[in-house]
Amino acid sequence: MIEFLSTMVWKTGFMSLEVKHLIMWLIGFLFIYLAIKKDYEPLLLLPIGFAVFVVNLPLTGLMEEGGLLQIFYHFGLEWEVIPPLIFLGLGAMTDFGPLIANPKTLLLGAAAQFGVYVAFFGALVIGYLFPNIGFGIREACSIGIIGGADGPTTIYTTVKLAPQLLGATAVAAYSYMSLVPIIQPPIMKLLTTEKERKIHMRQLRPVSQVEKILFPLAATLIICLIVPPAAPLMAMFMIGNLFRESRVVKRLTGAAQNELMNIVTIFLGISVGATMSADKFLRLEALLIFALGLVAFIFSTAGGLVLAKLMNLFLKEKINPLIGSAGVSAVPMAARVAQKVGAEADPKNFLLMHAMGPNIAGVIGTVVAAGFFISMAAR
Amino acid sequence: MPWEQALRIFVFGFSGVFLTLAILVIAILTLGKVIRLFN
Repeated sequence: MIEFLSTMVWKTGFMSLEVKHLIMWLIGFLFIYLAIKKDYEPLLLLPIGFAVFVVNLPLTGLMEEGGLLQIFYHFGLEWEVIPPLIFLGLGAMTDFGPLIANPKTLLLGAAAQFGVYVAFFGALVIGYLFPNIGFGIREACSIGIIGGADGPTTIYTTVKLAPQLLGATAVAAYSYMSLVPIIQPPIMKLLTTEKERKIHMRQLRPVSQVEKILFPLAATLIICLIVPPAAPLMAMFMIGNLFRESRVVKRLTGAAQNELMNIVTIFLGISVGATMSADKFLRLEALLIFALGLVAFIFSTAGGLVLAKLMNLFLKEKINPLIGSAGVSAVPMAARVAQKVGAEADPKNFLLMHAMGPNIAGVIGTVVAAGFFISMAAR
Repeated sequence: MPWEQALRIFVFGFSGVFLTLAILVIAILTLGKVIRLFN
C-alpha cells in the first residue's frame, strides 16, 4: 500500500518541479498581466502567456510526440499554415486606398526594413564573438526579421530557418509591436525638426474600386515572380484583400475578418507559447534576441524617417517625415503614433491616412525581405 | 563565419526589397493612368 502510494506521488508533477519551471510560470503570468491589465496585444499575449504556463507544468506531455500542443504546433506552425491564414484575415481587413493614392510611400516601407539588416549583422557579430551561442546565417535572418515588426512573418521565417528560436523571436516581435507608442516617439523627435513635423500633406485623391481590385492581382504577380518564397504570405494577404474589394463575397470577407482570424489567432498564440519551455527559453540566446529585436526596431523606425527626409530633397510637394516611421508593419498602431506626434507639433495636422500608406507598405516590405532571406539562406 | 554570404544577403536582399517595391510603385502608377484613360 505504501509502495503504491509512493509510486502515485512520484507520478505527479510536484516531484518533477524545478526552479526553471517556476521562472517560466512567472514569465507566463507576466504576459497575462500585460495583456489584461495593460492591454498590450492581448489577442496574442494572453494565449501565449497561458501556454507558457501550461507547457512548463512537468510530466503533462503536452509538447511531446502526440501531445495536444505539439499537434497544434506541428500542423499549425511547422506546416506553416497559421501565418498565411493570419495574412488572409489581415488582407480582408486592410484598405490599400491610402497606399494606391500615394504609391511612393511604398519606398518608405522598404526603407523601414533597414533595422532588419542591422539586427542581422548584430546577430552575426555576436555569433562570431561567442561561437557557443550558435547564431549563424539562418539564426541571424530569423532574429533580423523581428525588425519588420510583423508577427506572422517573423514566425513564418523562423520556422523555415531557425525553428529552435521560435518562442523568443515571436514573443519579441509581438512585444515590440505593442510597445510602438513608447519606443517610436523619442526616435521620431530626435531625427526630425519641429518644422518638419509640422509639414501638411495634401489630401489623398479618391481611389476607384477598379484600382483597388487590380492592386492585389498586380502585387501578387510582381512579388511572387520576383520572390517566390514570399508567395504563401503574399498570396493569402492579397486574396483576403480581393475578397474585401470585390464586394461580391461579403460572407467570405466576414468570415476571413472574424471567425477565421479569431480561430487562427487562438491556435497561433497557444502554439507559440507552447514552444517556450524552460529548456529552450531560459538561455542567454533569448535575452540577446530581445536586445537585438529592440535594436532592429529602432533602426527600422529611423530608416523610414531618414528616407522620407531624403525624398523631401527632391520632391516639390514635401512629405511629412513622421509618416516614414509608420513603415514598420505594426498596423495601425505605427500610423496612429505618427498622427499623435504630428498633432503635438500642430494640432491641425491630420497625418493618419497619409501614414497608413507606409504602414501597409511595411507589411509588404517585411514579407519581401523575409522572402529574400528564405531564398538566400535556406539550404 | 560566412561574411561573404552575409554581405550578399544584405546587398541583394535590401536592394531587392527596394527594387520589388519600386516596380510595384510603377505598376500602380501605370494601372492608375490606364484606368483613367478608359474612364
